[in-house]
Amino acid sequence: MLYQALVVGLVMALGVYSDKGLGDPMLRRPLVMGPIVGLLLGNLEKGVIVGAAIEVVFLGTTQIGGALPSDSMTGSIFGTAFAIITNQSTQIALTLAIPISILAVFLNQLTLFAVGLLEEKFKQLINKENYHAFVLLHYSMIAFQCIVYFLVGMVGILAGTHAIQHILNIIPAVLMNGLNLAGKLLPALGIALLLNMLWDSKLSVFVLFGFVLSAYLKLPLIAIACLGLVISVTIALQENKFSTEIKKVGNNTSNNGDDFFD
Amino acid sequence: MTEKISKDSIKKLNRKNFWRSLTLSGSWNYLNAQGNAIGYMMLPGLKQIYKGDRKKLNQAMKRSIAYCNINSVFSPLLTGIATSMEEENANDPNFDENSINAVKASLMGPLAGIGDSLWWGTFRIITAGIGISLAEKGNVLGPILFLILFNLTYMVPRYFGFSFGYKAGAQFIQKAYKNGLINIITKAATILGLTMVGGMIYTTVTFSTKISFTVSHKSYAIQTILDQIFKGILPLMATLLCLFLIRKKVSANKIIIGIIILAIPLAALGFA
Repeated sequence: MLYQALVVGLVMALGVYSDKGLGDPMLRRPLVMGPIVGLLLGNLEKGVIVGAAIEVVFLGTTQIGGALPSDSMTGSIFGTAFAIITNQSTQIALTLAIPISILAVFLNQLTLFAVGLLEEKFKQLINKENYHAFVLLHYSMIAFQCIVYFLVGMVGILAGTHAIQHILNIIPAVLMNGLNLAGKLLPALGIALLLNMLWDSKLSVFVLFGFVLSAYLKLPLIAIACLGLVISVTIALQENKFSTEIKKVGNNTSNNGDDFFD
Repeated sequence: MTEKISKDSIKKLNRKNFWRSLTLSGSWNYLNAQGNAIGYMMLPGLKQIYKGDRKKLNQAMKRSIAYCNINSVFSPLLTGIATSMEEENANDPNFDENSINAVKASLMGPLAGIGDSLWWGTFRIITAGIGISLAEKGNVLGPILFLILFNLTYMVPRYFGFSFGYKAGAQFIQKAYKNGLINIITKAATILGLTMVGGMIYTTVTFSTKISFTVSHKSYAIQTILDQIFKGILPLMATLLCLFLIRKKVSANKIIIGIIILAIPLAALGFA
């Protein structure tokens, strides 16, 4: 159990480090975290499949600012690890990942709050012209967050595995079905958050356009992206032409006006 | 105008800003967002610009760590523009120092809009879609391909950001605002993003109902009827309901808890 706990702790730290120190190259997405956990716990294929299943649920969910609407990284790491350690199905891994990623949001908010407590220190170091210490503090914030997640990963596996096994044994089917359905409903929220980020009421018809392309015409996402690109470039070119023409007209009228008053 | 930064050191600064930009959210917090990281990125350039003038360097650093929240792809572009303005400031005693942070602030909004549409709404969705379709069958190439393809779109523009921003300078941005170019690009990116997100709804929100009812010995499945009215009406309605709640300022955490509580009776009723 200690090995598994260590692995999960390290993967948690790696995920946070990739976000804070490697420019968030999407390493912490469930699609990638699942296979890494699987590889280290000796079941790569299961990790890949579980990661893909969890990724579908959280596809719409992205970081907004620095805060997360749901921490799919922590959810997918624990979901995959529990499923492999206790030998459960992909469906169970998914069902576990959902409540865990919701609970993990509070962990995220707590660490961000802790970093905020040191904001004053950053300002003081700048005022004292101590740039070296300023940079060091910036990096130690990264290290601090990695350590927090490492510890949570380790303690979670050491303390949680038996509890999870026990819960899975006694949980009623009604509740399991409910969590299953929640897994299919939650993407709606993720997508809605994405929509809210991009929202422009004048352009909102394009949501319907994309929806019909996929629901009725069954086009794959890459084809939808190409059609979207064609339309957006066409509109951009049209508007560019329009705005230059307006300027021309505007210039002409102002010249005429000057002539008139001269 | 005397050049404070040589051509050679621009190359070096470009590289430094790229690497340093990777720690952009390292000390992210609610008070200052990425401000400290931006200061860290600006530091090597400022040291060259204000060489031998500790007081001015300190003032510039104080400016640099002001609140900033920008799409991380564009962060080197932002520091490039800010560095070119700091250089102007060092050369021109009449330069308005406040304009540096004003230009930075004016960039955050539109660049966030463009970045969200392109990277979070489009590139990530396409590359993850390719990755998922392979990974679902247990193929480890899925996640690997996803990482490679996404980061091609994510890291390459980031690498060229600083020198582009430095050379283009603030005038370029101000001109782009004036002739409406920024608005047009934002609009085009938003159209692409919204189309993509619309396309995602049907394939990712996959619940349906198994409820059926019988009228004069004939059974009707509600899902079939719903599909005839409008295909995928349930996922679309669920998404629009969530959007409505978000726009009514209901927090995402509350919506998640609501979904889980609602899902239990709905599942018992025959939704799956």
